[in-house]
Amino acid sequence: MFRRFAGSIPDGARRLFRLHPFQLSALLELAWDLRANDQAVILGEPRHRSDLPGLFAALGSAAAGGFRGQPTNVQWDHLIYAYMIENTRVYDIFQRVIGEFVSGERLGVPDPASQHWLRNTEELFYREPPAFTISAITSYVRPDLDAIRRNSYQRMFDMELNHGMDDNRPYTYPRADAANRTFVATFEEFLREVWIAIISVRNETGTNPTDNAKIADLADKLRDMLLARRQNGNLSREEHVFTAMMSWFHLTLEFNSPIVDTLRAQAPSPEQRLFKIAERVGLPAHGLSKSFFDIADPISRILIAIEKGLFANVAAVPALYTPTGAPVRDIGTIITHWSVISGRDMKAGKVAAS
Amino acid sequence: MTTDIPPLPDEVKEAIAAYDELSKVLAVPGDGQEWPADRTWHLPPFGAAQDPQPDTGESEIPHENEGA
Repeated sequence: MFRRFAGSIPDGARRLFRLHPFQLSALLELAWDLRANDQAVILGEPRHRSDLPGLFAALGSAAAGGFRGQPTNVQWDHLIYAYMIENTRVYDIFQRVIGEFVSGERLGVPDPASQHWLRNTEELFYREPPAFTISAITSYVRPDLDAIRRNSYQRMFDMELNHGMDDNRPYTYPRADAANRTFVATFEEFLREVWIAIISVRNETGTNPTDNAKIADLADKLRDMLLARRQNGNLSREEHVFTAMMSWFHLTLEFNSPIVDTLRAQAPSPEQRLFKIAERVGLPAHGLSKSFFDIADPISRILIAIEKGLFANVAAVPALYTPTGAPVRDIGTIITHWSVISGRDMKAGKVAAS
Repeated sequence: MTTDIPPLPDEVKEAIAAYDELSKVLAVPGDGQEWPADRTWHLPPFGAAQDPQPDTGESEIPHENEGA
């Protein structure tokens, strides 16, 4: 959400970084209150993620005109966005950055603009969220924010982050029995089938191996499993908080922002900036960070579209591989980078077990 | 051999249009791009709170010793 709050890069982002942390927290609360709320679709679906009221709704701000002029029908990124960005190790690296600046001057003295960024980042993402807000997902019951994120990823995708503790020990967190254990296999089969359709779409000679019915069935299976984890609004708050959190760090690295300047990490791309910062604090970023950054937005859009059921109808499936459509561009990016980060080629034919 | 693509069926057009709409909702700013006004966020009016009410000396919440 923070990239959307900024509205422009770099000027909007610079203004955003200078706000008071309470204002930033209020914007997050506002985005929750203004979320898409189509009561005609099931609770948990992208157009109806939750019925829980945010702080402003509870205080009657809408009736008082407090929502006037704001965007409506707000949707935030899919949880997969947070998973992808976090895999770069950006959260741990910036934790060390803050640790260095608040406890000494080894990295220099932050300039005035970076002072705002440091204060906001520490206040928003490295301490208890303010009580009664939609972000307040830690408690005596679940005090560890890192563990809550890992638990969310495990439940939704049955995927682990590619890093454990700083000393490489595995991170322990509560694992749920109810997890989408077939998500990866189903999603990869979906990508392979769509890839076959993409390379066959203009080919008129010979048999066309495109199987629209199978693609629709796989999209439907993905939809069912993702929405199963979201029943009655489950995981919506976590998704809202974690995608916002990762978007803050993503925005920070999308340009030569104040903290990037202070760290003398200017570079032409997010991953190059992250690599330089990581080097300065002695905690390596993931070597495939470029792929994690590049896949995060398109895979978020595709999974939300799947949850909405856009491709569960056989007749609509060609939308995924029609050369003039936006979905095929996203699918192409996802196939490329998923192959890189998983080490499994989504463009290779399926190997049948003998 | 390749050929031109025939007109798209309505279901495909609708799915692509719905995806385009979703992409607009989830759009993020690009470097130097103009951001649409209907997706621009404004800070809640914290500073525009109503004037404090004059103190009449009466509490809306009855004190427990009142009338004792």
